[in-house]
Amino acid sequence: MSYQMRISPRSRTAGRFIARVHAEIQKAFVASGLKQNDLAKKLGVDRSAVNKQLLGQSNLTLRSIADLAWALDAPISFSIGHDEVAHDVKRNFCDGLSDTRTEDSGELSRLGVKTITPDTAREPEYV
Amino acid sequence: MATIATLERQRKLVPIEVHLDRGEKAWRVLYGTPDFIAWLDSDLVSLKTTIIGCEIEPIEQVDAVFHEYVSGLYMHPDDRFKKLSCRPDHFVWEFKTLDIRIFGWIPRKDHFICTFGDMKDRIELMRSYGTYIAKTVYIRTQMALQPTHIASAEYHNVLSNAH
Repeated sequence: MSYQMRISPRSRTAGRFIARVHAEIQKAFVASGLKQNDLAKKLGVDRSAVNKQLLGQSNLTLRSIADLAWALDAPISFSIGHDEVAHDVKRNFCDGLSDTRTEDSGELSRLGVKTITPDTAREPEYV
Repeated sequence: MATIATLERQRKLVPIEVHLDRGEKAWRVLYGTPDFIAWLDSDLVSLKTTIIGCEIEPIEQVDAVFHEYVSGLYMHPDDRFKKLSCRPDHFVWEFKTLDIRIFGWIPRKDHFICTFGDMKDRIELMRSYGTYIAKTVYIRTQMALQPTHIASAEYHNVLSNAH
């Protein structure tokens, strides 16, 4: 018999989204090669404020996320919706591009449509 | 000598299911001891964050880190998943969230057995990292799982990523 955590879908969505945003910011910070001092200087704030933002210990606003992305020189991508919606949008869009399908990824990206990669997940192995 | 399957049949290990979103599949596997499951089901629910400015409660933090693990996402080495330093090395690992630490060990790649969870503040205040490591090793020894654990601190030996 297995156990599933008792958490409401609303809490689950909030927790995973906020954790993901923090993880993405951390990842971009590491990839930038900057030090917290450099980042603080660029943003014109105290290093402790940057430290809290990177550790997820401060309330991030959309503005502060955008500022961090700018300072890290990292583009932001954002979407809400099921993958199927994106597939539908892509399919409908491609249907209208009968002669230009090879160029569709560029057009789609300009339109903000996320390209869905094939699912390559495997089944877990059990003993 | 025991296997994960026999321990599961004996109810000494309980698989932990994580709700996966559409299109996601389980990549890694989580188990808990019955005591850990009891902590998840009762204690964790009532815990509140102690971090000023933190937007997510401990139960949401734990669901998020379990979701990252099970769905095969990249786990940040020090921020999310870490081997605890100890001499001699017992290869006890922890999941880290802002408020919570979850201890356990890795019997095989992409498999994690959770033994204890507690608030980070309380662990630091009581200096109980050593106690949790010792208690985890005791449980691991009692279970006599074969193989017992992966004796490696290298992430690529204990984790693979889905993407």
